Amino acid sequence: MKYTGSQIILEVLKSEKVDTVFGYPGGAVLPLYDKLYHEKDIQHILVRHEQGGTHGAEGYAKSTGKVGVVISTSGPGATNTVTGIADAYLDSTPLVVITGQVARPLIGTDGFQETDIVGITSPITKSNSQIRNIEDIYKTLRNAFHIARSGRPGPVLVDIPKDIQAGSMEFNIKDLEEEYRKEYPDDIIEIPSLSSDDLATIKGIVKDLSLAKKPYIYTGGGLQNQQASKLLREFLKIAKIPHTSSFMGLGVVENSNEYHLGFLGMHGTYEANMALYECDYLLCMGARLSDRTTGRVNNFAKNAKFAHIDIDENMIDKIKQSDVSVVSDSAVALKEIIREWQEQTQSQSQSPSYKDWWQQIAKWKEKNSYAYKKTANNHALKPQEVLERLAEHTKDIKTHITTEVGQHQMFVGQFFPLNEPRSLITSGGLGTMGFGVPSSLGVAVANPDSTVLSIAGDGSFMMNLQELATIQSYNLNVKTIIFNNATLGMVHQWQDIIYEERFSSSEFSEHTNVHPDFIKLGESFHMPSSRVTHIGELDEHLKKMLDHKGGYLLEILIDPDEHVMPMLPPGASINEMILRELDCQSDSTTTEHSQEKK
Amino acid sequence: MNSKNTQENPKENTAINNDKTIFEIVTLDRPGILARISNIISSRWIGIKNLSTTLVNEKKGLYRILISSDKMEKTKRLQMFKQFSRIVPVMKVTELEENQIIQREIALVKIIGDADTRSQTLALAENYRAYPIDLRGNALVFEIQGTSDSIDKFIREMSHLGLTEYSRSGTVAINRGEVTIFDDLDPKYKL
Repeated sequence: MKYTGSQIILEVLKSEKVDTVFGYPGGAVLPLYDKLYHEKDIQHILVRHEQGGTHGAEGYAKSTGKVGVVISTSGPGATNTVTGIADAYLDSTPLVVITGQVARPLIGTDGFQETDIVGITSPITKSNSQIRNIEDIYKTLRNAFHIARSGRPGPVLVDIPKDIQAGSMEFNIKDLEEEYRKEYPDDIIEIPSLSSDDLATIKGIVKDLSLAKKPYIYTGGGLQNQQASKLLREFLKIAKIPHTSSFMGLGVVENSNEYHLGFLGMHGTYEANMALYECDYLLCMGARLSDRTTGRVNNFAKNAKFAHIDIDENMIDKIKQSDVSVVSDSAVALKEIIREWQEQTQSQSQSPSYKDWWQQIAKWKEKNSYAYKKTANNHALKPQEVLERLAEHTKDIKTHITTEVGQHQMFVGQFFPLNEPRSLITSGGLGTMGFGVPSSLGVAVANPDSTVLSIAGDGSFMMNLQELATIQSYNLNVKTIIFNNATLGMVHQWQDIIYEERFSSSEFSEHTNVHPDFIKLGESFHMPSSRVTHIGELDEHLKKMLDHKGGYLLEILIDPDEHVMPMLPPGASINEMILRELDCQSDSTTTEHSQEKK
Repeated sequence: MNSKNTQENPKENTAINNDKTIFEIVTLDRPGILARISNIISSRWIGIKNLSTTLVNEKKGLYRILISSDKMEKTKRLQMFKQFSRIVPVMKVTELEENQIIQREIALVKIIGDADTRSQTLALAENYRAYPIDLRGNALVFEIQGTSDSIDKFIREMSHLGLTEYSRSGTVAINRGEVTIFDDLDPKYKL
């Protein structure tokens, strides 16, 4: 049968069981969009900006674990996808980005809307390539999906010249499939099993864990799936070892889990960080030890034996030298750890209880490092209190929560109960302001039965607010909640603490007509919108928002002077957290903080 | 569990006693590989002293990329090693130890001198086993092969004798003894 290049692209998408693509048409993808017009099996979400497309696909991928697919045109369309690709690269999110390119004879001539997108994205993609012949479309694109989701996932970009999309050739899909299998025989998604060396290593890890005085388990985004989450909860229950997670690993273990100490790092809990400083055995799984998590590396788990399990062997020893390591999927390793633990503790009269260690942790917990002062009457609201109220209102419904980047993001990690894997969709590694609004639409598309709570700061919200139109036009159940303090909160906080209160360009409030009227803005997008100005009206507005089916915009006026606390100053060691000074609490652990640049 | 080789992970090889850092990367021929590799190097502000790309198995499209630079500290070496390994078509990365490999380079050296120095020039060249391969008027071109150091030395000594230009190939290298580049690779890639 004769197929055009575009039809082959769609055949690949269908064989990869892609149900949704995010995209924006343009000159160099017209042939593909023409074929998409008749396509019944693939839903195309028309975003309003290509950056929204990549973040939308990230939301889709992060909330489901499936590969997110983006289509954009050449030139500016392609360059607009760049931030989302870099974001996906740092957060190990599987994406396939298909960009149109000018026709082959025009490549290299500075043709209209020509950019070398393969060159531009080479440092931020797991792999990328330009297709040179119509015969290559099938295998290159199939392989792109394989690379995106295998091992440690990541974004892959495939650049397809327009004349190849439009060209046609006699093909038999079965032959293409066979040819592909021949060329890439290892393209089978299988979770590799553990080698006998790995089994021995795990045996050793379990033995050391049970013999340790102060063991500690630290997990990351690599465990964001149902199976790993279930296994980890089970292991904590039987082993009774304290647990912490990176920000990206939140939700894997429920907040209320008695062995969970909260998250680690710059704005994590005091006890999670102190335990890391003091532990004598650290088991780290599915985490890459980002600098926001570790603080100064040479003091990170300084006195501990360090065991590292990760699916990407390149993460092992990258930041901190491990004493033992296993390259494995975390769920596979956890299954073995549990089995081994049960076997080893069965032979002893009782399993270890780490009593002294837990007592020490309880002392750190007494600091109550997330404590804050409730909203005073007639004052702007405290973000912590808003999130606690929101959690109360949504406790009986299925929710996903997306964030932008900044103070509100950290507050979500601290104050919103995240009880399921893949329930927090956030930009961790790249820290992309403008991620939240578009990613929320991707989450909503992928999870129609869920209420998506999209928490945004006023600064971040302004960066991709055009996607409100997408949310409304597909009638997605996204509640956009703007924490408006008329300030770039996180920058403001650093300037306050580190730059001696020189608030350079971080206060919108010093200008008049700071922001658009968010309520009118929401309404102009045909979205019911309202504003909370004092704490008394909060419950009523939250209820109204949640009762409404579909998109809603809620603006909440937030106290601009509220800091995210505790805080690990950049470059400081993990035991040098600054705690909030409350009237009721003396602060003994404040230390000098470094003047390192942001 | 991963098909890529990490046996020579610098972690176990902290004792490497080189004056420079040499990476050997075995990769399949895919567009943009060299760009990805040089991106990794340049983003760490490291100057490449020498880079060569050569076929090791034509049928299988397997290439050897040899990169040498000034000696790097261990963390930098380790991180670069890991980043090279992450590139999808890269099959194997090795940090080479100078006394475990044989290195050779070839150079063409042009001397424009006069009749007075010619015999001195030829004598010196003979010392270095450099062969005169072209003579036109006063211009002599020598071909010399050997280690980079010996070529450096030859060029230095020729500088008094009318050295005008030279062209160097960059280093090629091979393991000593029975160790080969195909060790730890799928046997199908062997010659």
